[in-house]
Amino acid sequence: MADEPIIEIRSLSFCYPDGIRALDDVTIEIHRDEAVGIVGPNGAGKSTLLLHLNGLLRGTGSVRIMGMEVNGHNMREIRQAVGLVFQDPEDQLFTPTVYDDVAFGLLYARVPPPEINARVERALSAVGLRGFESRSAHHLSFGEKKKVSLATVLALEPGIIALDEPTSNLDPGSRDEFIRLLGSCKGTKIVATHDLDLVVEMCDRVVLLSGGKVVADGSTAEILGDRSLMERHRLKVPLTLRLRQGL
Amino acid sequence: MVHRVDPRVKCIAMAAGVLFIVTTPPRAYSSFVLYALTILSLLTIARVPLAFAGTRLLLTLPFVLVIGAFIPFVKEGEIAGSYSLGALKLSVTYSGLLLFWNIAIKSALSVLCMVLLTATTRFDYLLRGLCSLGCPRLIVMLLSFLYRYLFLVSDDLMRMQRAESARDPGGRWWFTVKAFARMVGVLFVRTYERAERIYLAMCSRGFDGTIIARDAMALRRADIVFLVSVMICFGAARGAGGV
Repeated sequence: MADEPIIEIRSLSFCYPDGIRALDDVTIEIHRDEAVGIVGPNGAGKSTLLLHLNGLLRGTGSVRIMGMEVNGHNMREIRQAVGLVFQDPEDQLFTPTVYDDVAFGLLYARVPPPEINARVERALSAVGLRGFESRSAHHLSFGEKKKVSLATVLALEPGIIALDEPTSNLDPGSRDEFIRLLGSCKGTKIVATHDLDLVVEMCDRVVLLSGGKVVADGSTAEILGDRSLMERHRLKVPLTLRLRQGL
Repeated sequence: MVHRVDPRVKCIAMAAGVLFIVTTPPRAYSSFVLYALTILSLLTIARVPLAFAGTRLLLTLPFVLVIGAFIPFVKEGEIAGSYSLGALKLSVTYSGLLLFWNIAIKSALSVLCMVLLTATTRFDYLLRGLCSLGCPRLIVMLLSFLYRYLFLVSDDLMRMQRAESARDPGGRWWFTVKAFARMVGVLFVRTYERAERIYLAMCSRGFDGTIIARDAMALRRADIVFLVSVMICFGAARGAGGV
């Protein structure tokens, strides 16, 4: 079925152990090859939602990825289907060398060793860091760390890439480069971010979360261009849209 | 050349070296000279600056001194000399001095062996070597995290110290001590939180609690030649000292 959603979230709610209700009856459907921006103020539940996509957190309600219900039995398939790029690359790059980091997921996906080498090389070429295999993440620049983080996920060839604040702490040059890189990646992309200009550049659709609830879901221009909606949720109409609207 | 030797071979050779050294009788002075010559020539071949090896050696000196320095005074035996410091009478015995020499020379040579190993082996290779030598994978994994995050944690501490001194008007030292104690607490909490995030990142790439090692390394002829020749040198040095 071509129009079956690749991600189907129904009535998802989640409470942290300290009682904070991070997600409250969230329902979202995302289709193949869509690029969706998840925006919202601090504490809206954006990161929590991403952690549900590959079963790292499990709330009440249902999450289906590529037709598979996320439960305790299919974690390996789910985690190969959804690649998660964390906000802080220092958390994502935890082994002594770049090679080990990129190969980590492949080892656990039980990919045979000769193919691991080929896929690590492919993933590093895709982010423009071929030849960095034996470098230590500690000695890379922040932009390079971000790219390697992306490569660790690309190596798994996931159908869905979910990114948490992909452009935070990047200098403008590295930011543009990283956005171009993301644009060249195939597959469904979900970006949780405060960088609304990034959303305008990358995503056709926006989901606005606030207080754990979906407040709005629609086209990027329609939602991010709605000044009163944005301001109600401590956001601002991004500059690129304001210029386009001639405001 | 030493740099390219298989890490497993270097681990075995240096562990054997340490074993030979610590089992050598303390009076076998020629043995110690031969050990030192072997290690120094290996360091030279590996182009490890001797000054670097020297500074590493100095780092261990305090431990040796603290443990060993009292021995000549407390060990009983024939007295080599005695000093009177007021009411305190100290005497140094020959057997005590010999024991001190024993500890000092053996620890120095053993540390040099480890300097040779670590200075010529990249840490990730060393870990892979340990892993394929049968070192528990959990330990290897812990060491790899330590290596990866040690500097990050110390950077964290440095930033906190800077933030603290930016607000510290100076003066009373116990305030600084109190602030430092708080910092260590905060550092622990931060590290704990980071560990949780790292665990999530591992899980999201399929980590399931088992530890999978990378493919095995292949021994080359040069590795065997290195192992055999180093063992012969150490063995000969050990032999020169008798049993």
